[in-house]
Amino acid sequence: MQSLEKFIKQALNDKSDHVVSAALVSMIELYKRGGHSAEIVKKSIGELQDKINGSKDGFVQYQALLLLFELKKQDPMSCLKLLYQITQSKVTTSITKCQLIRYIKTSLVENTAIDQRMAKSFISYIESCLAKDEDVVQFEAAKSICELFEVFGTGINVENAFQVLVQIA
Amino acid sequence: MHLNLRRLVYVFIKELKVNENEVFIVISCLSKDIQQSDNDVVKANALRVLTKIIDE
Repeated sequence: MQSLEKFIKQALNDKSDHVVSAALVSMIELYKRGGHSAEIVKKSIGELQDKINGSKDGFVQYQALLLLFELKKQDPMSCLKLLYQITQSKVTTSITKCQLIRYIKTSLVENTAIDQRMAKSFISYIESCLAKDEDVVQFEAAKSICELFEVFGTGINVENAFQVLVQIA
Repeated sequence: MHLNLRRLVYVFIKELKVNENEVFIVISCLSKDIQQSDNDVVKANALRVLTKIIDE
Protein backbone atom coordinates (compact mmCIF):
# COMPACT_ATOMS: atom_id res chain seq x y z
CA MET A 1 0.00 0.00 0.00
CA GLN A 2 2.79 2.43 0.87
CA SER A 3 4.55 1.75 -2.39
CA LEU A 4 1.32 2.29 -4.29
CA GLU A 5 1.06 5.69 -2.65
CA LYS A 6 4.59 6.44 -3.75
CA PHE A 7 3.89 5.30 -7.32
CA ILE A 8 0.83 7.50 -7.58
CA LYS A 9 2.74 10.50 -6.30
CA GLN A 10 5.46 9.88 -8.85
CA ALA A 11 3.02 9.36 -11.69
CA LEU A 12 1.17 12.55 -10.82
CA ASN A 13 4.34 14.49 -11.55
CA ASP A 14 5.27 12.50 -14.63
CA LYS A 15 5.94 14.45 -17.79
CA SER A 16 3.60 12.32 -19.85
CA ASP A 17 -0.07 13.33 -19.76
CA HIS A 18 -1.08 9.73 -20.27
CA VAL A 19 0.59 8.65 -17.04
CA VAL A 20 -0.78 11.63 -15.10
CA SER A 21 -4.25 10.70 -16.26
CA ALA A 22 -3.74 7.12 -15.07
CA ALA A 23 -2.69 8.44 -11.68
CA LEU A 24 -5.85 10.51 -11.46
CA VAL A 25 -8.03 7.55 -12.38
CA SER A 26 -6.30 5.50 -9.70
CA MET A 27 -6.91 8.22 -7.15
CA ILE A 28 -10.59 8.39 -8.02
CA GLU A 29 -10.77 4.61 -7.57
CA LEU A 30 -9.01 4.79 -4.20
CA TYR A 31 -11.17 7.64 -2.97
CA LYS A 32 -14.37 5.83 -3.86
CA ARG A 33 -13.16 2.76 -1.97
CA GLY A 34 -12.91 4.93 1.16
CA GLY A 35 -11.11 4.03 4.35
CA HIS A 36 -7.42 4.64 4.78
CA SER A 37 -6.69 4.99 1.08
CA ALA A 38 -8.99 7.98 0.81
CA GLU A 39 -6.65 9.88 3.13
CA ILE A 40 -3.85 9.58 0.62
CA VAL A 41 -5.94 11.32 -1.96
CA LYS A 42 -6.87 14.16 0.37
CA LYS A 43 -3.24 15.14 0.77
CA SER A 44 -2.89 16.07 -2.88
CA ILE A 45 -5.58 18.73 -3.26
CA GLY A 46 -3.01 21.41 -4.05
CA GLU A 47 -1.52 19.38 -6.86
CA LEU A 48 -4.96 18.77 -8.33
CA GLN A 49 -5.60 22.51 -8.47
CA ASP A 50 -2.38 22.93 -10.43
CA LYS A 51 -3.44 20.19 -12.82
CA ILE A 52 -6.71 21.91 -13.66
CA ASN A 53 -5.07 25.25 -14.32
CA GLY A 54 -1.74 24.11 -15.68
CA SER A 55 -2.39 21.05 -17.78
CA LYS A 56 -2.92 21.28 -21.51
CA ASP A 57 -4.38 17.81 -21.78
CA GLY A 58 -8.17 17.56 -21.79
CA PHE A 59 -8.47 14.35 -19.83
CA VAL A 60 -6.10 15.47 -17.11
CA GLN A 61 -8.14 18.63 -16.58
CA TYR A 62 -11.39 16.68 -16.64
CA GLN A 63 -10.31 14.00 -14.20
CA ALA A 64 -8.75 16.52 -11.86
CA LEU A 65 -12.03 18.41 -11.81
CA LEU A 66 -13.99 15.24 -11.11
CA LEU A 67 -11.75 14.30 -8.23
CA LEU A 68 -11.63 17.78 -6.69
CA PHE A 69 -15.39 18.07 -6.77
CA GLU A 70 -15.73 14.61 -5.28
CA LEU A 71 -13.37 15.63 -2.46
CA LYS A 72 -15.26 18.81 -1.66
CA LYS A 73 -18.73 17.39 -2.00
CA GLN A 74 -19.34 17.39 1.76
CA ASP A 75 -18.70 21.10 2.10
CA PRO A 76 -21.12 23.18 0.01
CA MET A 77 -19.25 26.43 0.54
CA SER A 78 -15.88 25.18 -0.70
CA CYS A 79 -17.68 23.50 -3.60
CA LEU A 80 -18.93 26.87 -4.75
CA LYS A 81 -15.53 28.42 -4.24
CA LEU A 82 -13.95 25.74 -6.40
CA LEU A 83 -16.48 26.20 -9.19
CA TYR A 84 -16.10 29.96 -9.04
CA GLN A 85 -12.32 29.76 -9.25
CA ILE A 86 -12.51 27.53 -12.30
CA THR A 87 -14.97 29.77 -14.09
CA GLN A 88 -12.52 32.64 -13.57
CA SER A 89 -9.52 30.70 -14.81
CA LYS A 90 -9.09 29.79 -18.43
CA VAL A 91 -10.39 26.27 -18.78
CA THR A 92 -9.71 25.42 -22.38
CA THR A 93 -10.97 21.97 -23.25
CA SER A 94 -14.56 21.23 -24.16
CA ILE A 95 -14.99 18.11 -22.03
CA THR A 96 -13.98 19.98 -18.89
CA LYS A 97 -16.28 22.86 -19.73
CA CYS A 98 -19.20 20.49 -20.17
CA GLN A 99 -18.59 18.89 -16.79
CA LEU A 100 -18.19 22.32 -15.21
CA ILE A 101 -21.53 23.42 -16.63
CA ARG A 102 -23.19 20.29 -15.29
CA TYR A 103 -21.73 20.87 -11.83
CA ILE A 104 -22.85 24.48 -11.85
CA LYS A 105 -26.33 23.40 -12.83
CA THR A 106 -26.67 20.89 -9.99
CA SER A 107 -25.17 23.39 -7.57
CA LEU A 108 -27.67 26.05 -8.53
CA VAL A 109 -30.51 23.66 -7.86
CA GLU A 110 -29.25 21.75 -4.83
CA ASN A 111 -26.56 23.76 -3.08
CA THR A 112 -27.93 25.57 -0.04
CA ALA A 113 -24.97 27.88 0.52
CA ILE A 114 -25.41 29.74 -2.73
CA ASP A 115 -26.30 33.46 -2.65
CA GLN A 116 -27.92 35.71 -5.22
CA ARG A 117 -24.73 37.29 -6.49
CA MET A 118 -22.96 33.97 -6.93
CA ALA A 119 -25.95 32.52 -8.77
CA LYS A 120 -25.99 35.48 -11.13
CA SER A 121 -22.34 35.13 -12.01
CA PHE A 122 -22.74 31.40 -12.60
CA ILE A 123 -25.70 31.90 -14.89
CA SER A 124 -23.86 34.56 -16.84
CA TYR A 125 -20.94 32.14 -17.17
CA ILE A 126 -23.22 29.52 -18.70
CA GLU A 127 -24.65 32.15 -21.03
CA SER A 128 -21.16 33.13 -22.11
CA CYS A 129 -20.50 29.49 -23.01
CA LEU A 130 -23.58 29.67 -25.18
CA ALA A 131 -22.14 32.40 -27.34
CA LYS A 132 -18.85 31.29 -28.79
CA ASP A 133 -17.68 27.75 -28.37
CA GLU A 134 -17.56 24.26 -29.73
CA ASP A 135 -20.87 22.57 -30.41
CA VAL A 136 -20.73 20.22 -27.41
CA VAL A 137 -20.23 23.08 -25.00
CA GLN A 138 -22.95 25.16 -26.62
CA PHE A 139 -25.35 22.24 -26.44
CA GLU A 140 -24.55 21.51 -22.80
CA ALA A 141 -25.03 25.17 -21.91
CA ALA A 142 -28.33 25.40 -23.77
CA LYS A 143 -29.57 22.21 -22.15
CA SER A 144 -28.62 23.46 -18.70
CA ILE A 145 -30.37 26.77 -19.22
CA CYS A 146 -33.55 24.99 -20.29
CA GLU A 147 -33.41 22.76 -17.21
CA LEU A 148 -32.78 25.74 -14.96
CA PHE A 149 -35.77 27.48 -16.53
CA GLU A 150 -37.92 24.52 -15.52
CA VAL A 151 -36.82 24.99 -11.90
CA PHE A 152 -36.57 28.74 -11.50
CA GLY A 153 -38.99 29.97 -14.14
CA THR A 154 -38.69 33.64 -14.98
CA GLY A 155 -35.37 35.33 -14.42
CA ILE A 156 -33.66 32.99 -16.82
CA ASN A 157 -33.55 33.90 -20.44
CA VAL A 158 -34.22 30.84 -22.59
CA GLU A 159 -34.49 32.67 -25.89
CA ASN A 160 -30.77 32.56 -26.69
CA ALA A 161 -30.62 28.92 -25.68
CA PHE A 162 -33.41 28.09 -28.12
CA GLN A 163 -31.67 29.94 -30.89
CA VAL A 164 -28.47 28.02 -30.29
CA LEU A 165 -30.30 24.70 -30.20
CA VAL A 166 -32.02 25.47 -33.51
CA GLN A 167 -28.70 26.49 -34.98
CA ILE A 168 -26.99 23.28 -33.91
CA ALA A 169 -29.85 21.14 -35.18
CA MET B 1 7.36 -7.90 -26.05
CA HIS B 2 4.31 -7.32 -28.15
CA LEU B 3 2.65 -4.19 -26.81
CA ASN B 4 -0.95 -4.97 -27.75
CA LEU B 5 -0.74 -8.42 -26.22
CA ARG B 6 0.63 -6.86 -23.07
CA ARG B 7 -2.24 -4.41 -22.90
CA LEU B 8 -4.66 -7.29 -23.29
CA VAL B 9 -3.02 -9.00 -20.33
CA TYR B 10 -3.63 -5.88 -18.24
CA VAL B 11 -7.31 -5.99 -19.10
CA PHE B 12 -7.37 -9.69 -18.29
CA ILE B 13 -5.77 -9.25 -14.86
CA LYS B 14 -8.38 -6.67 -13.94
CA GLU B 15 -11.11 -9.22 -14.55
CA LEU B 16 -9.48 -11.98 -12.52
CA LYS B 17 -10.60 -12.61 -8.98
CA VAL B 18 -7.82 -11.77 -6.55
CA ASN B 19 -6.16 -14.85 -5.13
CA GLU B 20 -4.61 -14.04 -1.76
CA ASN B 21 -1.72 -16.49 -2.15
CA GLU B 22 -0.65 -15.49 -5.61
CA VAL B 23 -1.47 -11.80 -5.81
CA PHE B 24 2.00 -10.78 -4.62
CA ILE B 25 3.52 -12.15 -7.82
CA VAL B 26 1.29 -9.92 -9.91
CA ILE B 27 1.93 -6.95 -7.65
CA SER B 28 5.69 -7.28 -7.93
CA CYS B 29 5.46 -7.56 -11.70
CA LEU B 30 3.29 -4.49 -11.96
CA SER B 31 5.55 -2.55 -9.62
CA LYS B 32 8.46 -3.40 -11.87
CA ASP B 33 6.51 -2.19 -14.88
CA ILE B 34 5.76 1.14 -13.24
CA GLN B 35 9.30 1.74 -12.09
CA GLN B 36 11.35 0.43 -14.94
CA SER B 37 9.33 0.68 -18.09
CA ASP B 38 10.12 3.62 -20.32
CA ASN B 39 6.91 3.15 -22.26
CA ASP B 40 4.19 5.50 -21.02
CA VAL B 41 1.33 3.25 -22.08
CA VAL B 42 2.73 0.34 -20.07
CA LYS B 43 3.34 2.57 -17.06
CA ALA B 44 -0.16 4.01 -17.08
CA ASN B 45 -1.86 0.67 -17.54
CA ALA B 46 0.18 -0.99 -14.82
CA LEU B 47 -0.68 1.77 -12.38
CA ARG B 48 -4.40 1.48 -13.09
CA VAL B 49 -4.36 -2.30 -12.68
CA LEU B 50 -2.30 -2.10 -9.49
CA THR B 51 -4.80 0.20 -7.79
CA LYS B 52 -7.56 -2.13 -8.82
CA ILE B 53 -6.09 -5.30 -7.37
CA ILE B 54 -4.40 -3.92 -4.27
CA ASP B 55 -6.35 -4.15 -1.04
CA GLU B 56 -5.93 -1.84 1.93
